[in-house]
Amino acid sequence: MSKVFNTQLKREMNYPYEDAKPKKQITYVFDTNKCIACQTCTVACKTTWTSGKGEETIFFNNVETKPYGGYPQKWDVNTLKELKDQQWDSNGVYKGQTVFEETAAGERVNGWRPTERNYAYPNIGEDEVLGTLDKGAFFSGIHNVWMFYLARICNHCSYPACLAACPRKAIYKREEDGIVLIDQSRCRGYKECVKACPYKKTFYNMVTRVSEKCIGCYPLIEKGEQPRCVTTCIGKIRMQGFMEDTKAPRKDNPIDMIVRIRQLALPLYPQFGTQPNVYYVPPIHVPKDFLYQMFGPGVDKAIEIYRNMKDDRELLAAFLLFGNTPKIIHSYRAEENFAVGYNERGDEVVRVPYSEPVFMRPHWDETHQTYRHNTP
Amino acid sequence: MKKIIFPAIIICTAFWNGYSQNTAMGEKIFKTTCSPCHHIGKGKLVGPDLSGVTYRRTEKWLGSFIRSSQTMIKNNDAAAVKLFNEFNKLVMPDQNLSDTQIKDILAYIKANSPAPAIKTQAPSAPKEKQTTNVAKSAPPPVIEWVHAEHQIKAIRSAEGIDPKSLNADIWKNAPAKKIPVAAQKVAYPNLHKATVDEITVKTVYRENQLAFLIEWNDSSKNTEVDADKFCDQLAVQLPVDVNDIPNYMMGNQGGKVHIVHWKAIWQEDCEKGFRDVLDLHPNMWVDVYPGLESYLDRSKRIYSQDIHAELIVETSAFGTMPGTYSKNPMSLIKRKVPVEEANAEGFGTLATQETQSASGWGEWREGKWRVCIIIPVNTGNIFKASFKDKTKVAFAVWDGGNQNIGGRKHYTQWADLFIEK
Repeated sequence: MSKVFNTQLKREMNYPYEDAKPKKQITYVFDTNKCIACQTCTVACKTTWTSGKGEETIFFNNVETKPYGGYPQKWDVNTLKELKDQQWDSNGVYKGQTVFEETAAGERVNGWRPTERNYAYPNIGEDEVLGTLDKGAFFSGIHNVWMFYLARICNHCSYPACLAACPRKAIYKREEDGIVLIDQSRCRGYKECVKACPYKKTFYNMVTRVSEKCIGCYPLIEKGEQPRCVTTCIGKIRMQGFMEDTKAPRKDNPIDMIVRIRQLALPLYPQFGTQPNVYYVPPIHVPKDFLYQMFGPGVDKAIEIYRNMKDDRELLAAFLLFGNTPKIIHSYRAEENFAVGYNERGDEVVRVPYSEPVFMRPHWDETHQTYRHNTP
Repeated sequence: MKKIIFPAIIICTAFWNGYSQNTAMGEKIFKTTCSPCHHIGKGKLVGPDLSGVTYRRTEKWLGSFIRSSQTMIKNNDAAAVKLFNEFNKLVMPDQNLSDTQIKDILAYIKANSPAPAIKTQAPSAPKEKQTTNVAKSAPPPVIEWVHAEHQIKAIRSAEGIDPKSLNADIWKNAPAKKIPVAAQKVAYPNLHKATVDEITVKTVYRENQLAFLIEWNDSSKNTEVDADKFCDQLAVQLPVDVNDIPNYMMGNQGGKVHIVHWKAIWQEDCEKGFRDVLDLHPNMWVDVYPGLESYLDRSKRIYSQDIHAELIVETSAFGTMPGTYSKNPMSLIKRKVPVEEANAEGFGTLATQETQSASGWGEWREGKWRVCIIIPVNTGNIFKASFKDKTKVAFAVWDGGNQNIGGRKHYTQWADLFIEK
């Protein structure tokens, strides 16, 4: 066991391997408030990567409805059961144990193995709310029932549990971008990664008899483009970029701005200890206790910042870049009327206005001798 | 107040137990935790013989080493590094034991070690130096062939051996040897509970072939694999170089072992054809597999029959099966034999051999597996075992019904194998 520093837990923790930071880390920001669970991301991913024989129940990307949904079923509650105390102190330091700590004898990771039934219902709990709606409640005040959509992919963790658990070292984290991959020619299908990954984003292929996982669309990343699930999102809830957490955050990196400077986007279940690299803007209307458990102690601050984002033009500019270009944005600038994104070489790749221009046309169209309706 | 009192009581208890030197408890822990790798007074196993170790090292040093030898190696503790190098850089796993438990184990080791002889020899440092020099020039160490309880005798056969003839006369003539198996607890991840006690081995030697018939009790026949399903397996391991016996657990760096691995699912593949999704999930339905649209029933826009994996590998949709596409030997669709020949040089290094010439066959009946494995030996192939009249052999058994997989297995130590004159 080595000691590594988990920045999300703000403390050292046990990990089977030495710390080896990639040159840059693939990082995503998902805004849960904008997700409508249309599953376009799921389908884009499925048709691109997991349409083959044996991949029928493999979803590198899925969108589930919280609190009841989950794929595989109960993935989160079962992992939470593996951990005991999960308290954070007032400085945001995690005091409980991670999946790498207090492990059972002879195990590197505390994990649980999903059954075939856990994979049988990808959309279970979809659109189900917590609680019942009182008569008339829908028409007045704040909703007394709640749910939200949680889009999930592999977190390309800084300290992957799948990698830690593989006895063959068939799983590796790429030095160039931190993407975590299973070597398809080296894996022998022991399914230790399936048991270990707390997010259950490694899957066993029953036909090839080896395990597979989200590859972060690395052929696109290598071309300077964002992954399929990001670019196809019709709600524009996603952005993919890079972070270098060994260096100070850059104000002109939209990911750094959102995640590290404003701290508006939070890791999913940071207490697992894998330091996941998909950051979520927490849903603003969900009971806080639920959110504390899911996103850690930064929830209150994140929600406050989100509510006031309209007055924070630098932060707003970063959000405007979501879903407006397939290119990976390495830096950005908040101009007077536009948010401008640049690629790694510094070429401008996208320019988004703060306000969409409005075009007014006369009600009566002389050319076509007809009335027109203006639609925004 | 309670919060203050409680830890004090615990400390007192630990103190008390520590001085009780509970050798019985120590014996229990030693047998479950230490004995897979260490003997007391019977020589080296995976790790050093622990006889007299309590006289050689301080209790503090032993405690730290037992808890985390890796930390000590990392901190350049001279003795720890020396041991690590001496034992083929095999890492002793960290042991999650309490102070009391460690004291108990040490008490047990002490009770079973002879008292140290009065020192009449030269101080240890120069002696070690001398030993190193001798080792460099001396011939390889003499391999011990005295494990009487683990001796297997192979009878010779003039005729060829058919792996499928499990009831052939030749097997009736071969002596049966029972060998105990133990749960693997050396490398991560461990098998927590042994469900197989022993295997029965019969061996026949024919020119360039070593045939084994191995039996063991297994109440369930597990031939499937899926997210939560595991199959029964068997492996036979031989040293590649009989003059340099590697570690019996998957060999060690520079010490290669030749392994032949039989899996129940491969046997199913051979018997019934490749196990596809519909064989495992008969009610599964898929609208379309991209790249295989042309196989859709035109009028109904559905597949009127399953598109079998065997067909897919012949089409442009081959790439949708990444393991098979990457030529992973686990993903072989058209399997001819239920065994695979591999090499290993330590934990996690199992690699399929390029030349596959082993064969095998298994049969499960009334709570018992009988599996025949035929290994090519003395073929001149440097990846395969070669020997004259004797070698070593080790076995591993997986109980699929109890989620055995990979390192979660039952193993045996090296047994001596003698070929009939």
